[in-house]
Amino acid sequence: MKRVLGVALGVLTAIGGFLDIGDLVTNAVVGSRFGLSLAWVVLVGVVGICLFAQMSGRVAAVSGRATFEIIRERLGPKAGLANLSASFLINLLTLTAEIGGIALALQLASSVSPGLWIPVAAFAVWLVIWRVKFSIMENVTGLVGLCLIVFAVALFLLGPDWSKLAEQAFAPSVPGSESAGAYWYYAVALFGAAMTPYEVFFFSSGAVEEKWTKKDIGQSRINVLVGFPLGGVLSVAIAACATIVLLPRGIEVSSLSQIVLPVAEAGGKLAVAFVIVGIVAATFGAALETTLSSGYTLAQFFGWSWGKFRKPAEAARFHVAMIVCLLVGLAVLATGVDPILVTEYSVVFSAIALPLTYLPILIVANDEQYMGDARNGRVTNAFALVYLVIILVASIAAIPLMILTGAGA
Amino acid sequence: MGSNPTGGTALGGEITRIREEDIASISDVSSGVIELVSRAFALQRRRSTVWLVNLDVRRRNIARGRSSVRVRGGAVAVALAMVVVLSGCSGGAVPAIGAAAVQLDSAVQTASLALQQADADITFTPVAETTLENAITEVDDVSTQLSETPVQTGREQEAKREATAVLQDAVAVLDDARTALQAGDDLPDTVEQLQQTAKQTAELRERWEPFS
Repeated sequence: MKRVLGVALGVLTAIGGFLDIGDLVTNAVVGSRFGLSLAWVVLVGVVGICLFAQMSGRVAAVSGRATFEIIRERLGPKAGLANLSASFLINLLTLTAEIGGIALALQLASSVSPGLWIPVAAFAVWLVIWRVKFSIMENVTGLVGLCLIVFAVALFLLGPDWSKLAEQAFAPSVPGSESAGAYWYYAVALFGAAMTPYEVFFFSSGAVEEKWTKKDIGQSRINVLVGFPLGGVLSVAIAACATIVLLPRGIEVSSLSQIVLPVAEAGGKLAVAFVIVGIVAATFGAALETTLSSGYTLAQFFGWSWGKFRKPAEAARFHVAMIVCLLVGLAVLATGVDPILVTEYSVVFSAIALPLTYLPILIVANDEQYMGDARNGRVTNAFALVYLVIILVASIAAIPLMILTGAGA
Repeated sequence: MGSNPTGGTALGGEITRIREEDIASISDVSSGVIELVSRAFALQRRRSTVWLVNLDVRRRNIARGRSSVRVRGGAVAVALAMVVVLSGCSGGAVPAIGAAAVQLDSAVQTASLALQQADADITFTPVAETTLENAITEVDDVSTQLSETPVQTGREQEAKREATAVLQDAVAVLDDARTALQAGDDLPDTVEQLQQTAKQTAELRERWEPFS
């Protein structure tokens, strides 16, 4: 019974923790401009993140060490540094976007300017990382993040023409008002949002924090293979809500407040309350994860003592690194840059950095020395290679598409 | 590593050796590719270590010099390519006005929907206020864009004049809406006014969006 409850909790937190500011914004933007014609990208992205997250969790469970630590050791400092540079910078950008996202969500609840909420949000993130246990932190944000299920409920309440939505999703085409370049630019952005690098590093480091062993591989696999796809369903629900309410009115999403409009239309004040709580939890949870990921990657590369299972004094550099990252994010937002713009760039740059993140994970997961008989099987490797090709294409196409379309304008 | 029959680089020789000796015995193609990449990485690491230990300062400086020339050459090529692409992307005034019309319509439609929701009491006032504030900021951006768009031809002047007139109406109506919302006034009149403005912006968009 305890095991069943553990699995259920893991799945629920995986669903609630799947969405972050990148998913929220990109799916809403895409829904308001392209309808559901890019829903297939969410499917491709979710399969990809499931594939690499379970690989990363397995590496941690078998070796007892985080993926990044092994990458540094297995592939040497040069390859490790390339991986670190790409992942860390994207992580920092994502962290900035998440803190901005918390502030924007709190503005919806209070009308107080996000500029005033930003330092409060950053301080709260630091405080939770400093004081709260890893498992509590992860479970609470994941469970409260489940409030975002309200998007799926809103979709039903809006009573859409399901056949029309299905046609858009299963026979995708570029809408007449949009260019092919913009369509593919947002396809790359959506893919980057689903496969954000911090998720795998957080997942594998989290496995070490929670002291997973080989016995836990099954449970982690269920968490990923059930939780993430259901999180993907929520992503599609966000896009669908925008398709039904915003697209016909010609509203193109450029702020977080617009994402809430379809939910209010469908479910009134109660639904709005749920969605605001859900957005705060999702962005706060993702801010915690990105802050920790920043500390994890730096500490694991330089060989510092790390982990929340250690007292801060025993992992001083790890904690200082996280504080510095939070301050950098805070400084960027203090310039007055629009957090939504930061989010849009973070998901595209995520796509650019993907090969440097995922290729090393694949190599490590195939290393007999570390993995023994828990190495990748043939099917996993075949899927992973297909994904590496997709990742490479997305990565190469991202910058030219960004220039040609004026960042999807 | 010493016996490299093809006379190529050490890395190339190693890859050839792996291909000849190992790939044949690996039935799974995907595992073979990963193994190959993995060994190439391992070899590269060994070579890097040897390189760092053995290479003298002079040879390193020469290598650095060559590499920096290559980097500079690459940077110039990328910059040139970007200039070509960006110059190809730049358009005239009409596309810019078309894009402004789209943005203006989106902002006004957003404000209209938010105010309707506030009037129907299906959303919280802070949500409606924030949405309205964001819409006003977006309209301000459009105003700046429009004022900075240089026009030359008669058609461009007509487009800009028309867009500016609709924009000024929108700014005034949005300002009234904000005041009404903040004061807690009855909203039906403001909602109707905003809907009228939204119709105008939709017409403007319909006319100029195809050229954006």
